[in-house]
Amino acid sequence: MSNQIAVAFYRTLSDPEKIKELGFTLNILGASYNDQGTTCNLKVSASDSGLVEVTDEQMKWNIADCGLILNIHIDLKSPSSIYGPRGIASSGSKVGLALTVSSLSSNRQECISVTEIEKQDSSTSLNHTVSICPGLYLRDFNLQAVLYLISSSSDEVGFASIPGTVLGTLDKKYINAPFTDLPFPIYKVDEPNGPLWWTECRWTDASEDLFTEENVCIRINRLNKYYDMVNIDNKNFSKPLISEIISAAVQLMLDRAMQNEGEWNKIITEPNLPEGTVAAVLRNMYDTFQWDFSSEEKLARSIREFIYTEVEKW
Amino acid sequence: MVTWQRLSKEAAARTAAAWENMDRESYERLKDHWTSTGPTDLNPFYSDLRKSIVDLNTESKKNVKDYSAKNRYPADLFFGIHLYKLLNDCGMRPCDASDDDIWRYLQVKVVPDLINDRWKPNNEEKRINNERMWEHSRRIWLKILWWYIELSLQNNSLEDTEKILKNNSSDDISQLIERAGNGYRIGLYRAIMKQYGETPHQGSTLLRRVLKLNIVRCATVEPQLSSEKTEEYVAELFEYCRDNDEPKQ
Repeated sequence: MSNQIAVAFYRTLSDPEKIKELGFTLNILGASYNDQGTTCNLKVSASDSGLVEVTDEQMKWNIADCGLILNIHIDLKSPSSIYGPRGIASSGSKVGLALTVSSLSSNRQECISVTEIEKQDSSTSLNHTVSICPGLYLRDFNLQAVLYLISSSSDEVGFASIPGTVLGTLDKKYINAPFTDLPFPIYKVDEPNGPLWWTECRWTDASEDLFTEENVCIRINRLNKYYDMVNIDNKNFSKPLISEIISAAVQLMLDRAMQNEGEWNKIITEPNLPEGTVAAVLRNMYDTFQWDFSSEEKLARSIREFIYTEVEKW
Repeated sequence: MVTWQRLSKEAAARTAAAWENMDRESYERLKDHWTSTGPTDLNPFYSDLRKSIVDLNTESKKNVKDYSAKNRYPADLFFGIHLYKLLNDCGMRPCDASDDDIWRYLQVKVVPDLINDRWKPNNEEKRINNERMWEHSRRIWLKILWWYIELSLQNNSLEDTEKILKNNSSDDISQLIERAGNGYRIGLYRAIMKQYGETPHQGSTLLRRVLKLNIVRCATVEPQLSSEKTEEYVAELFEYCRDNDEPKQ
């Protein structure tokens, strides 16, 4: 395994405080798709972690067959701070905002320029539409807002000079369009005589295998007599039960990863894990949710405290 | 619209394990059955598709001059181009081609004999090359042939595409497919393959070096946001690789 360190000889937007100072926000206003000339709205659920779930309450849409239209709103409160001695671009240069759409599961990525950020603006606010054509994306993608250099002036040192240089990522969303109606890797099966649920962890290399059904998922058995209690559309749906199932399943996934000390160490320390992989998702859990990994008992408790709170919001 | 059948990694593993665990006589009977009547339980669409793929495979060996076990590339290219057209005519889209379960079904259930014939197992004690048959996402054979053509497509014309690919080698297929990064920049890769096809080849390392340099450059400069046209960016990659040593990652 090679260790890589990226060294930039120009200023980039890496300091979280600087990103905060810029006052950038990207909000998903809504999602829809086009069905033979008619715009059909989809349900969007966004969390603070950057996960955005898009689902269709009519159960007719999927991103592969129908595509997706995302309406987003962008605010940049302090664009002028990008430029000059305290900024990331020289005073004489031009900086733009772009969106990258990338998906490992769909084997593609593309980049769209959105707007130039004028240095004299006191703030920038705009709406933008991200259109995903049918047939291209399988189920999920990453949406990143980046600043990039449009053109530079050559008189100031310490700044990027090559047009197209990405100066930093302002925000990142993971857009998930699952076929299920629950925002976790939960897939339904029909297994006579089977238990209500179980977890499958089939990845062989967490840093390569994607966090998709074939490698990791929770199975809910529709033929089990207690299925109504985990069916969100049923009047007997039980939030405590589904919370317990998800908590136990997540802990099983983490236990599986922690069995291999080398792999677990890589998951929690490697700086650039490939997006969408099992390793990246587990790392996100490790970094974002403040779970207590100091012992199995504390981990079990902290996972449940989090999951029960999240499910309560459904 | 066709509904592609899917086979999970787990199910494919079970099937391959069953083949490995058969006694020799039963396995030989199974292989004979594949080649004589084809796998059972295929619906009419897949039965017809199997026949078409088998015919293509046979044709790829007959129509290519100097077909040999040592130089399979010309036959692989012929097969790949026609397979791409066949599957697309059946309704395969890029999102379908990204779904490994679809490819596993095609390889394990529909044409296992073809894959077995093309890719012998690395271990003499094994019967199946699992990596190529179902296991490794970027080595599933029919999948990588499809993506090789998709990433090299020129002017939406398979004839133009064949022209720029004809002087390549089997190693070039792997080099291209295995460098996906966070997803292929489709337009950029097509431009790279066009330039590569029009460049007198300097040994087998040029494409590898260009692709590695591209990955390194893309970490800081996004080609799609550059003021250079894609063709200029690609020309500069090739010029750099011709003039300099292999970039280290």
